[in-house]
Amino acid sequence: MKSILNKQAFVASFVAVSTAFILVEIVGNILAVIF
Amino acid sequence: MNKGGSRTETVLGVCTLVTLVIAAFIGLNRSSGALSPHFHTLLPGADRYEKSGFETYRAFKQASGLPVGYIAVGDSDGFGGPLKVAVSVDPNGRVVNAIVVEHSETRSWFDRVMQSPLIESLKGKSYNDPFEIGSDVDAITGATYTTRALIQSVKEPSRRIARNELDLPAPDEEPTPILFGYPEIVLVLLLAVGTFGMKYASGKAKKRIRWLLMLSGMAVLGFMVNHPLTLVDINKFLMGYWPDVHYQLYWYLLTFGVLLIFLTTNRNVYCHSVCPFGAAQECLAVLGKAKSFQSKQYHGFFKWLRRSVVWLALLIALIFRNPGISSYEVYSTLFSLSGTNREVLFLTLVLLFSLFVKRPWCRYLCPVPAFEDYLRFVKKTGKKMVLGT
Repeated sequence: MKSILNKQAFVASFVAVSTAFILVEIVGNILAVIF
Repeated sequence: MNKGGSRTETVLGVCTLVTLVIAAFIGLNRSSGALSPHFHTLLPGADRYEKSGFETYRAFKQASGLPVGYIAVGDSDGFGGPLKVAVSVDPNGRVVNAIVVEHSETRSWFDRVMQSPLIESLKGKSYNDPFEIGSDVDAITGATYTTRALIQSVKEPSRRIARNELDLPAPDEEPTPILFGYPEIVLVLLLAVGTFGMKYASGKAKKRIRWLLMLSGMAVLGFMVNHPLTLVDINKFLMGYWPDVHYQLYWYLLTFGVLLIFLTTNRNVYCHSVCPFGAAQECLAVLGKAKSFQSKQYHGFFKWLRRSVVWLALLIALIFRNPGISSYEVYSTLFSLSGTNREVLFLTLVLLFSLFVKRPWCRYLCPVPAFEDYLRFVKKTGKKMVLGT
């Protein structure tokens, strides 16, 4: 049970960090086009 | 799925379509970049410009009655879409300067080309020169499409000016044969074996065929060609930026091949056994003895988060009419072994995670499954509407 919870938190952290990377990448590309 | 969930999915599916259509209209009505701000950089000696044809100008010096140069625009298909270049030519038919006025290339690739000596090497070239990669122009490793488009966009207007404005005998464009080399052959074979071989094989043979396909895909579509299916390809397809088939047959085979196979067999052969990045993750999963992990608690949230990110990326690409603007995949960083610090960091995170969880990129982040979901939704809704149930 504990290991599943840990894995759940592990995956959730990965998705959160990756989504942040993706959004930063998209915003960076937009800013590069505008300015 | 329960009825409430299904209704929500239908409402969101329709909203997605409506918002994307609105974004496409906004994109189509946005004005493109004007040419005049670039005139002085293109021909610094001139101070008066007269239009002499479609996107062609004669440049004069105040005191002189004869043109001191000419400016014209050329366009060609880059990796991400159309690439437009303003070119200035002197009265002898030699290129003075070239400026990219519009492009849809992925930023890191475009920067790589612009930081190379390519533009400088095109300056001074005569309309009579061959403008051929490997002959009188150097290739830029890993950015073949952009390089070819840039050269074509300089060659064509310089020859047009020589022919129409200077009455010089510019050589005619020779018809280009369709490029059908090893990348195209391997891609067709992979998709064909993935579709038919996997259907009829079973047990260990099926597993072996799948590994053979994945490793071949990783070697050829990944490390050698560096062109897996990306958001840029899907955006180009949706925006109608379909490139010249002579130069980019590979794009047609990849985009239409994957789509046709899915529509006819209802199976996503590409993600299952052809995708080079999927293969790279599976290799790491074997090394780290990683297992698939399905988060029951967050499954729905992760699914909708991925769909929302893809929807946002599409919306931005349509509004800006730029297929590469919202591309976020990490594939090219791996397969070209180069990228910005942020790209390398993100790729490292994904690859490290692949050692512990099987194919995390495919499961949580890749845009292709989100499109697959949407196509399934469209097929299901279309069927319901036709059958009236």
